[in-house]
Amino acid sequence: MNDKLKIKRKTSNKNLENIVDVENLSFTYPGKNEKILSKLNFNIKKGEIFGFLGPSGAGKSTTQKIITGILKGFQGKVKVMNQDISKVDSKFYENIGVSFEFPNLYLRFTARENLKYFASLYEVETEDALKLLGMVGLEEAVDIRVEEFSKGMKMRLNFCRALINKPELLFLDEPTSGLDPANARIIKEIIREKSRQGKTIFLTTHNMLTVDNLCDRVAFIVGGEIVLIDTPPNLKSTYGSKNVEIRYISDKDSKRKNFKLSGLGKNLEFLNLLQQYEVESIHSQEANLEEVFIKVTGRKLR
Amino acid sequence: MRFLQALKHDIKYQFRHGFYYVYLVVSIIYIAILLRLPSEIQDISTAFVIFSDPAMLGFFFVGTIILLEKGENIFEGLFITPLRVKEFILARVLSLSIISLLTAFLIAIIVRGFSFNYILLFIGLILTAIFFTIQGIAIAVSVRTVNEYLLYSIIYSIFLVIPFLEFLNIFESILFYLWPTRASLILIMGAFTGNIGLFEIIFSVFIFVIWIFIAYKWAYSLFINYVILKIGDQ
Ligand SMILES: Nc1ncnc2c1ncn2[C@@H]1O[C@H](COP(=O)(O)OP(=O)(O)OP(=O)(O)O)[C@@H](O)[C@H]1O
Ligand SMILES: [Mg+2]
Repeated sequence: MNDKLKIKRKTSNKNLENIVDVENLSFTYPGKNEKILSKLNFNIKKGEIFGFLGPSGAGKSTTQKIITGILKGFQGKVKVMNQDISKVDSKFYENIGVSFEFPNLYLRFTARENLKYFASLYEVETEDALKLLGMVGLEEAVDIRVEEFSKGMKMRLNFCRALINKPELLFLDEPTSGLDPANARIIKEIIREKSRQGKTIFLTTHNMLTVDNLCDRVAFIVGGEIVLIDTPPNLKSTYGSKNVEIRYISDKDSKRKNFKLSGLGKNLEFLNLLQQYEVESIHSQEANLEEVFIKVTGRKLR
Repeated sequence: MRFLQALKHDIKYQFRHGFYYVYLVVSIIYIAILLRLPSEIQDISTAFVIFSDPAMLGFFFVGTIILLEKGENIFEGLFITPLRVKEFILARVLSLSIISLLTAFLIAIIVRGFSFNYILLFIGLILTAIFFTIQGIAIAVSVRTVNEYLLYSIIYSIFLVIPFLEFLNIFESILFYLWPTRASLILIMGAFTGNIGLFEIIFSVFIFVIWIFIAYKWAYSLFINYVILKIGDQ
């Protein structure tokens, strides 16, 4: 890894309680030689939306399986909600919610029946099924069997399933995949609302836009190592460059060229262009996280 | 209680997927055939049919249900709740045993009236149902397709029907006494013929309990390896 990169941490909410605390986490699947995770260090504060971002095979699911108490036999220390994760029993699941990339639902049962059954497995107080379904716009589909649902409807119901036990800590894997923009917006708004209520969210995704919109901090993970952790605005200002794209007519053809925003007024090439050609448009472009990721890790996300 | 919720849901699931109707139709066919048999072979035939009911139907149905659940991706959602694997297995075993008991007693009463040993039939049936359902779970969690399940089931069935050679007077061996299927047949047959001693009952139950214990440990560890550790792998 590039040793010039320093792991940065958000300091503003330093005094908040850690919900997830991972120290020197390493993992090798039993019977395999290759180390899948090596010396991961990170923590997630109460109420934080923490993004976990990396290409396929980076170890995101493996990390999540360890934090959710499914995979044992790791090295290092993992504390979740103040409990040593290697020692938790089934009571641990009373207070977490998990939604995976693909829905987990009983197809021959209605939306309401699905939520009611999952709710019945908890001892803690559960959410009202109808209220949850209303929140994600499924109020009309309450008594329809899931086999009749579209993919997006199943995803939304699955999201409700993860919220049914009012979890303190929520794990979401690609929560907006397969959703149209309007519904994706609703889901993101609910996630933000949960965070405002003090719930903690661990979000795994390939989607930079989701990270940029939602996450308080994001960790880049590549090849089982965390390359850096920072807030999206910091990442963009540190590693991204703001650009200006200019379109102009030359030899009756429309052409375009990119310039760095900083120092634009003294950029002779840019100034000449303005004087010599007929300019069609000038747009400034935000630095985007995708570009930052490639720059930092040397890897593409997909 | 979680276990009771899981049991209730299992029964509902089996209704929704039509398993109760399949059992009913199969039972009616069995009854129709058994009633036409000459009385000398009715005892043994009824015992065989009733044995095959939890043994074969239960085994294939639990396999089908688990493959359906895998298709629905249900286990990922289920085992990140407080529900434990042992509660799940217990609920599944009990829910299928209930259907087996209902249909077996239905067949027995219609064909034989009330002239059989209820307690012995109950013991024989419940042990058979528990054993075969656990076996079905073990095989179904470790395969990916219906065809794989059928293939393993056939190999497995061949092993299990070996002691039938003795009942059909083809071949005899003292080793057969250790077979779970023999214990099952002895108990169920005994319920109809009355031709069974106390020692045989105790011995058969004892053999069965050992088999069920081994089967459970095996199914449990396959469940952990093939279902729990694979949660979130897609
Ligand atoms: N059960 C397993 N046994 C052995 N190796 C595994 C197992 N599960 C995952 N791996 C390996 O561990 C590595 C990390 O996988 P993981 O599923 O954690 O990646 P990921 O970041 O979640 O990828 P994706 O974005 O595709 O979901 C991969 O190289 C994968 O092949
Ligand atoms: Mg993954």
